[in-house]
Amino acid sequence: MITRHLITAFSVIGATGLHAQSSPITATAEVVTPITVTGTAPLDFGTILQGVNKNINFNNAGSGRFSITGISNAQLALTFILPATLSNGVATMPISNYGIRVNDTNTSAGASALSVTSGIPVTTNLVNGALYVFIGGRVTSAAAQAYGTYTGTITLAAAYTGL
Amino acid sequence: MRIARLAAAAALLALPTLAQAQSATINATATVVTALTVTGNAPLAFGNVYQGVNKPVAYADAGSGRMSIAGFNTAQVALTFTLPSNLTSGAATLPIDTWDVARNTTNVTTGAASMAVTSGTPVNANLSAGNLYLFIGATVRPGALQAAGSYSGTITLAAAYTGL
Repeated sequence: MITRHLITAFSVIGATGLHAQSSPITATAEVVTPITVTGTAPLDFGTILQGVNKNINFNNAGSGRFSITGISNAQLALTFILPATLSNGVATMPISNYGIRVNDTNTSAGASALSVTSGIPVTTNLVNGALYVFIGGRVTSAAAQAYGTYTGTITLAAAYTGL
Repeated sequence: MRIARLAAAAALLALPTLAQAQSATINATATVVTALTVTGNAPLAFGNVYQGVNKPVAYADAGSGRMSIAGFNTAQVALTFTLPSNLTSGAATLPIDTWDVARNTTNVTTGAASMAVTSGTPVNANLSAGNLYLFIGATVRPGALQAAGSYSGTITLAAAYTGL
């Protein structure tokens, strides 16, 4: 009985609202092309010698690569999650000095530097509906660095922020 | 009419959800290769020496000191020799100098290349095939009244990677 009374009360309010309208309007929204983010190449430091640091620049063959697609001219927030160490079992090796650049075409030549802090969004534009990201860095090898293969994960998240 | 208006409102609310972040990952990888090993293979042995008679041992002589290094192919290494300036026998000392050092990528003195070596100062060399062999000669200079006995000293070689 209580339920039925409530429904009745709403119906009365609704009927009152309808009387007040003269013409309806519609609200429309077009959801544009979704963003895609693809990891296209690892950041590969290759061979490391004990006690010898190694840099990979954004335009080296071993640089990490992502590509992003979406609607042209949209503004994006990019959030990178950058590891501070690479791991090989319990052994670790510091990674730092990330150098990140972006370009509208899939070439490192002419790419623009992006000042990036891990976990902090940075905005950029999808000028032609695509953005290519090039990532360099440095590993610091200790004199007694345990040998083996070290890995870490770099994550890039992208979200529209406007046009 | 009421139903239509509610649907329009729902569409507006859904927009922020559709704009969720998309993400992807790549790996960062690095491979630390073989550690360097340095091995002393043979002492620098002058044998018998006589008072007042200098005795050289050349790097290619049978008595030359031998050391070897193993590591990553083609790596460059810095070699730092610590060379004594005297051999000792108790309190007595016997000067040693004129170091004659050569290196080769195979364990033979034939074809070895001479190296200018200063004690304590690094000098670079390449591990062309992952190995380097070092041959060490020098000269001892006994005095006219050199005390009899066996004299010895220590030659140290330290190696560290410097690059590829």
